[in-house]
Amino acid sequence: MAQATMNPFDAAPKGPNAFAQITDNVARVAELEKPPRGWYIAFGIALSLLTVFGVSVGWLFWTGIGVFGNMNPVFWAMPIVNFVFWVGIGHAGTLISAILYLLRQNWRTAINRFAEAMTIFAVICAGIFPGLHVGRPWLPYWMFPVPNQMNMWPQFRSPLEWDIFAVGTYFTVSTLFWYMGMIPDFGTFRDRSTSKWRRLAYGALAMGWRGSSRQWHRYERAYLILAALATPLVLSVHSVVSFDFATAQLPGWHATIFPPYFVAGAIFGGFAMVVTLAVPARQFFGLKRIITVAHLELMAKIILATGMMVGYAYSMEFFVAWYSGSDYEMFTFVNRAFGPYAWSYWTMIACNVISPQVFWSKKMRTNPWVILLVGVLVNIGMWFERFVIVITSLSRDFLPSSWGYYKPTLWDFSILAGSFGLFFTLFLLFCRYLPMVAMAEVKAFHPSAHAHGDDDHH
Amino acid sequence: MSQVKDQPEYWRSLAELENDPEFLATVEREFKVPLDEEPGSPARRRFLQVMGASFALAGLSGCRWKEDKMVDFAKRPQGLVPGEARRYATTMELGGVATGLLVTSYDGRPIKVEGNPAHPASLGACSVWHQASILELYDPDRSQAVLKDGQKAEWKDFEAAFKTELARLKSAGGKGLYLLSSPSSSPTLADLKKRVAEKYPAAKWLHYDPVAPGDEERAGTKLAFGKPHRAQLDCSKASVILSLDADFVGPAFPMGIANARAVAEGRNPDAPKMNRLYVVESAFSHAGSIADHRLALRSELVKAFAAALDAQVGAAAGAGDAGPAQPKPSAQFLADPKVAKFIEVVAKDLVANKGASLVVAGPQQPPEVHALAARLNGLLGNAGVTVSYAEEAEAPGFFDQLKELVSALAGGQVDTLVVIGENPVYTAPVDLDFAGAYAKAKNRIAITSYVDETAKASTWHVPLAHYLETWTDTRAWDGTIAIGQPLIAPLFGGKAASEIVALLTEDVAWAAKDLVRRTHKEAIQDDRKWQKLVQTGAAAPTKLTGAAPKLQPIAPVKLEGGEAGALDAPAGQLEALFTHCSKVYDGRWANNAWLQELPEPFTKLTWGNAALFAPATAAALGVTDGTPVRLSLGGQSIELPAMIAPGQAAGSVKVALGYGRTSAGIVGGHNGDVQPTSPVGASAYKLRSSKAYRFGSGLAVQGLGSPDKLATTQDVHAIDDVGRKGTDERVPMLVREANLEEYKKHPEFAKHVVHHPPLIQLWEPPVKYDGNKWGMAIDLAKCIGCNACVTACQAENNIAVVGIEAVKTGREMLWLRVDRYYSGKAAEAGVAWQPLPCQQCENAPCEQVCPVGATMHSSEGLNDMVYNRCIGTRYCANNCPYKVRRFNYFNYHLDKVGLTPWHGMENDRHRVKAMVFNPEVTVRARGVMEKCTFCVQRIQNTKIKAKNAKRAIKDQEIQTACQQTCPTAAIAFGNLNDKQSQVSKLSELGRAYQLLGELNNRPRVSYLARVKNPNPELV
Amino acid sequence: MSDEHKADEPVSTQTGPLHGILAEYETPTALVNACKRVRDAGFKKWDTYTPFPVHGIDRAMGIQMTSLPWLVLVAALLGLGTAISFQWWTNAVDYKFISSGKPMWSIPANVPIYFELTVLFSAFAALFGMLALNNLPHPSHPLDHKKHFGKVTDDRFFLYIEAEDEKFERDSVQALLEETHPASLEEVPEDHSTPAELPRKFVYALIILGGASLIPFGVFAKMRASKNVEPRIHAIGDMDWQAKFQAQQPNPLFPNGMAMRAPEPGTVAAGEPVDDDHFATGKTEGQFARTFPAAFKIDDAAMARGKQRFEIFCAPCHGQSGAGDGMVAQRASELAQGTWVPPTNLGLEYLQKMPVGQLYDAISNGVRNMPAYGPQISPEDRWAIVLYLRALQKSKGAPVTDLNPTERAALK
Repeated sequence: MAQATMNPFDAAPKGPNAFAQITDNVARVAELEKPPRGWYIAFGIALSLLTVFGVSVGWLFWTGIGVFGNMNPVFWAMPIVNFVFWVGIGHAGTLISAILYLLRQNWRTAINRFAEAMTIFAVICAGIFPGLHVGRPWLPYWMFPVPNQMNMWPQFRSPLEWDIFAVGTYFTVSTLFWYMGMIPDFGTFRDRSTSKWRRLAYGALAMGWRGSSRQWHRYERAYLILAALATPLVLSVHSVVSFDFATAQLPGWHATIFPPYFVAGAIFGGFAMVVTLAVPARQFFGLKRIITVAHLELMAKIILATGMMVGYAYSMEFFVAWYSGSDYEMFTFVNRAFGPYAWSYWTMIACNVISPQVFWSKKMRTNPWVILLVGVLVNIGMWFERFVIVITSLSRDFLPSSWGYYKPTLWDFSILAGSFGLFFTLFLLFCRYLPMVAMAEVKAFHPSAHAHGDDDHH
Repeated sequence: MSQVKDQPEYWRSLAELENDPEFLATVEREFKVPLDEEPGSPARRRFLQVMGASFALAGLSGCRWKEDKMVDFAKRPQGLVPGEARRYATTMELGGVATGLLVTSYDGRPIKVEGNPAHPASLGACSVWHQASILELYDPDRSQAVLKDGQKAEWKDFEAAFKTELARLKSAGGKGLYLLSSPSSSPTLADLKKRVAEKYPAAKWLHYDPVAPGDEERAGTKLAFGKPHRAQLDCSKASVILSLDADFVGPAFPMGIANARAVAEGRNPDAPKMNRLYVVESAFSHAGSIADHRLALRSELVKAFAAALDAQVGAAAGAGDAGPAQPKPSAQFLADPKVAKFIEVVAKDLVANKGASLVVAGPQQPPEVHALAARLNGLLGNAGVTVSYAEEAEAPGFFDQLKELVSALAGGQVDTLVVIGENPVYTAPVDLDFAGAYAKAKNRIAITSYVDETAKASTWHVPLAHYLETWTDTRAWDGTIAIGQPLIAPLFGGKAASEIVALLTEDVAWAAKDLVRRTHKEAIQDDRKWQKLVQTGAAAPTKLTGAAPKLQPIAPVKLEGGEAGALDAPAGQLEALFTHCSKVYDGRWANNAWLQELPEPFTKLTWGNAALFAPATAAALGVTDGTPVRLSLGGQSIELPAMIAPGQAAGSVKVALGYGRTSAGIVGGHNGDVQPTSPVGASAYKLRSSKAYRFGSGLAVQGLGSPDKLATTQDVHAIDDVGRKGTDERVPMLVREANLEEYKKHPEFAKHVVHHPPLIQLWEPPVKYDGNKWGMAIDLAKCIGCNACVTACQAENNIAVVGIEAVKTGREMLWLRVDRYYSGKAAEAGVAWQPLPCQQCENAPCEQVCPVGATMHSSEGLNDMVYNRCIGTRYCANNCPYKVRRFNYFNYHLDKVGLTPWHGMENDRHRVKAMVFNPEVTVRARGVMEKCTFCVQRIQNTKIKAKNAKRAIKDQEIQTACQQTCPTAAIAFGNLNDKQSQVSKLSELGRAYQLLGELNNRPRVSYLARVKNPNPELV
Repeated sequence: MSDEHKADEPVSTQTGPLHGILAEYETPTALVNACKRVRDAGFKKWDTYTPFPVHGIDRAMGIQMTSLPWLVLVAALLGLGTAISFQWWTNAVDYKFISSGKPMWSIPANVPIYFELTVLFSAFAALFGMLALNNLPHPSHPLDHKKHFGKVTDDRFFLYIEAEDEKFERDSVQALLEETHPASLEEVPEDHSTPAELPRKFVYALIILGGASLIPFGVFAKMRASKNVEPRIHAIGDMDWQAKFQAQQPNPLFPNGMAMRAPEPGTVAAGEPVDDDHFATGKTEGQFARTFPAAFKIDDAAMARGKQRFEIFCAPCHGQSGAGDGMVAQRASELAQGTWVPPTNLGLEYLQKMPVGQLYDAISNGVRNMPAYGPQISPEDRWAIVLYLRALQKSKGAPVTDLNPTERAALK
């Protein structure tokens, strides 16, 4: 892929002190006395949204799940939509880090770090929702296999139980992966730090990393292994999430196509979120020379590709429904496109299938702002995809007598907005205090990083 | 009552709140979410309470384990074993129609009402009204004190004051003394009435009930026989039945339950002969819902129809000495080929089944129709076979009695008026202006169970005891005497009607117990015999018998106004049809939350009434479901939401009475000073007049803007074309139906409606179910959609009431629902019922998805729900193909939201309410899933009994609540492993099928396909 | 340039002992070339330090393949094993229940968690294994005191040979490194300035934190040990208390505070024996009946039932044999309290002659000190007890001839 386009490193710093410049570019952000005003504005907004989140959750805990619009037959609604949405976002990070690493897509180095950060924060947001939306939110720990005086164990036949393990593992492994990647950069921060406390903090995080080659050797090995572990994990998480639906009997959920379809969608949405974050980030923090247009273009291409996969999945669902010969299945899909929730279906199509098509034109896919716009659209579209799957299927199942129409409440939206607050608060803190770009890796793949030893050709 | 004492404290926190900015802000924010509602509706109150509670930090006190004491009698009465249920026979009366009941008492508290198998009007079944009456008993809104001019007073004050007034009146021979009470069959009241007449010759005792049956029948039979009679049906002997606008299987009809049982038994397609049911009616009734042929006619057209039929039958059967047949009436609609054909075929069929046919006239139809029905039965030789006539005393109709009273009041002849158990200020037709006239009486004494509209307008009010609180006696429609035992001492110091009346006749205060005993003393001398009668609750030998009376010639019916009209009525001249509400009757149960939240059988509307239009009429008027409309009739008008009712006769608008109460209570709406709540629905009495009493034409309808959301439990969302198409496609798969001939040809047809691959198991089932294997069979051919099972389930299983907003949101709680599917074209639409409990699938989809194993399978095949283990992921409900699982979105039982450790017994209101709950069933808290369990508590009780007695459980020994109360015995429950059990036999039938069985869930409920017996000539 | 570089660093030479010699390079290439020389010179205790993993330096330094992958493999297998055995034990052994007619234990339903735990364990092994093998965390190193060395995480490349290497020899190493044209070359002394152990305040901080973290456990321990009159803390009631009245619960609503209500006088519950005086009261025409009521079937079952009930309700006072020597009676006579009236010996003459109806009545309504057992024992059972009592009385002083031979044999 990288070959197909201009070299993403063309824009990168050159000359004898290239490495120093890279270091400087990245580290400066964290060392600024005062971050740019943009950061403060963004952080202010994020914090206020986070407060909304807190209030909403408080009220939810006090009064009960009824503050949401959930009803019979739509027993799962926006909280689950949000859960799947965030888990989806949480894919691109590890994917970029792991899969692209295994595929030797060196250009990933520019973006993998905060893609990973994004993953972790997204998974945090995701993880909160299932806990919130249970009827007795003080008891979800019953889903964890902890020995208890009741001598009861959770049921491992339940997809929700698989979820607990899948999402839990994914979060843990992503965090390990992320942290490990940052160890050398913490070292850099430590060595550059002027204040004692910074030195202490980053020193502790770096754990005395001094870049010994013997350590580098094991480090790279471990990194490769983690990447190799994370890759199937990424694919598994959303597959397992899709099992929540696929293993159910409900028309519109009960589909074998779900795992690949969900994974494609997740990658799609994940990358969309990456560009949504990358474009402003490179703007604010002057990383244009590290996160280059070429990088964005590559991601645009991935968005286009995965977008079409998703589109294929949409059409395939219809085919399968027809091919299955099940009246209920057929009805569900007709109902999706032309029933009371048609508006959500067509929003989804417009955002996910139509909007990425602009990337066929080079002009568009090299314009950061167009990319940003499409990224946002796709995020919206992916949220609606989950809305369509969860809600339209539930609202009209087997018996017409139990059909209903779900309307979200104020609280549904405040919680969704609040979760964005949580996400961006964490993300902005990350931008402010942690190495946003994997410096060591960027350097490693820098043209002048190649040691062409004089007698090294045997 | 200490409740009154508690009130101030109960409200203090609120009072503080009223102007607390934070609180107001929260309310403000709340206005966006479904939790908030118009002031006073239940959820809103819950909300207020939680704010109060949270500010009062009541949580702190509640965060420790609560210890509970055990208290017992020092010397316990014989036979009263704590925790062991006992059954007492009693009887309940409604509009003079009595039903024998068997009430379950737990620790000396009544908790459940069932029918009394020994009573001919019950046969072990009962109606929603009986089932829900237990909730009224424990309604804290019931009147709790004697009131003088609205001020609290003592019983002895009233007694003294009343006595002095009586002394004064007695001297005048009772002149100016009036009593108004519900029509009653009670021998005790009859006896007292005699005594009153002796003691106060000039006094008048009148009866009124806005919807009670009987008036028109008495008048009609008088036309036919010269003397008033009452018709007693024996539907079991009838193979062809014609209903003239009569819901004779409905609960409000005399012996309706018995009729339903008989008709249902006659509709068994597996029996050699199956009866045929023709129904002519304006709005869908229970009878109409099971009819083989139904003709939708405006009520006002039925008279002409009857006359035309008489003409036909008279011609065919020969009038004999019963005078000439009716001349063919000249009504436009009779020209309609469909109607003509119908009349011809029906006449033919009736004549063909001479002596085995039956013609029933609706209680709301004018006397002529009853006369013609009687005549037809006579001509057809049915009298004495399928129907017998027992002579009745001459008595003016209830409406006329009320009119008489009003004129007396207006004429100032009424000095003292004692109103017992009725609410005329609310229920009187608007043009009588009862309220205005009432004020003219000097002493207005209201003996009512609530401080209702009439009590508010009275000088004295005395709480009337609930029928479960006092001794009563009734005579069923067939004359059977039943003694009503009290199940508990009056909770709020209420008095029995007989006790009040006894004040007039006796010098010392008499207890109802002694009054009832006195009445029957000479008939039953021996106390042991008396005890036996009390125990069984029904005495056989007192039946009324009637030799077939001689028919008299009936003058040709006169047709006026709309009565001779066309099939459809012009827009301004629509027919207004005022009926009792199948839930709150005439409004007396407006404060009964179970009934308010019960989905109306056809519209599935809860919490309110609506104006029902035929689809054609609605289209013509441009109104649809939920459109607010103004109904104007005779200068009066009310506003109601419109609803489209397939099967409704064109040009006829049905409005249920009994709503728009302004003094019912917190549930039904009241404008009192504590916790005022807005009325539920709108009062159709404001439209009802002497001219349009049962029904009348001249109704004008005006739409008022765009539709509002209605609180219905089915078709909650205006169904779009996609949805309607989908529904039409699948209904035949869900409710499988065939004609008798088809069924005889293909007895297995129901099994081949849905084609699916063979249903194989991937694995060995982990359990063999070789012990008890519980299963259910529901006969769709028998179900009349009366809802009794639904309320029985609610009463048995402590199912919460959620309130109108929650129902609108779609959070109804009823475990058992009766699905209603319309079929066919608008006016000729048919309707099919499908009671839907949990199907207890052997491969239950709900179980595998629960992460904590809160729902799992028992070794007897029950799909158990472990409330305490449930954390409320709601995944099970998503995966249930039948959507029979229900979720507690809030703490509905605690009537306050919030994370509260209290168990809802903080004040006496709660303590009163809590008494209605079945102690053997968990009262579910917030956040847990719940569902039908086949009444597992009943199963366990019987298993224990059988185990102690070291015997096997007998078939039919365990009855689920829905099964026990079903008037038509459409539900069978039992052990599928016992091949001799009723349920296995039914499940073996050819027409047995399993709903969505193709999903291989292996449901334990079998539905018996609906089989109709249409007349080939009409198909 | 290296010369003057050396000149302006006298420090390194005079403070000793020497820990090692550090060479600095500006490009990875220079470093790699230097590495080859040092490798070929056969040094063991030496290392290079770079801002990023330099390509090809492993071979240049002759670094052996790490054993990390094997570590991870072991962890993976451990994870898989855990997943399998744990799911099997919890759902198929320790806590069985029937769910959707599925087998208690089947592979397919458990695969996702096999996979997840396998990955989880391996991931931990990979990170922490790497740290361990790299013996990280590694707080301090003599190199940290070299100002230049700070740039190792930025853009400088270093080669360091430790003095401990047995081949190490200051001058030869100096010479060897000179030949690699380092940007700078300097001697690194042993690090004495950095204390061997953590600074005091860290230690204190850690101790305090550690102590604090124990407090909750201490509280729990105390609570478990100590007695408390207050009921336990139970914040969320859920369904532990419900808005209903179970058997014998109190209800403040009523003056007597009981939820249980006495039946209304005159009411008759279903199943009460109202029409059978004999059965219900033991009387016929007002006289105590001398016969058992027809409604009561006399058979072995009844006798067995009677024995059982007798031993439950009567034997405590009257004794197994009815001789009035029940355990209660014995205990009471030990206590020898004046108020105590000893229970009657049921074998007495007049009791043997007493009509069964009267015995029944005595059980039902009590006699003298004996309370009424009517409320507790159903009529059938009362008659059964009377039946058994009669048998007891008969057995007293019954001639041996009443017994059949086998029974007599048993007695001997």
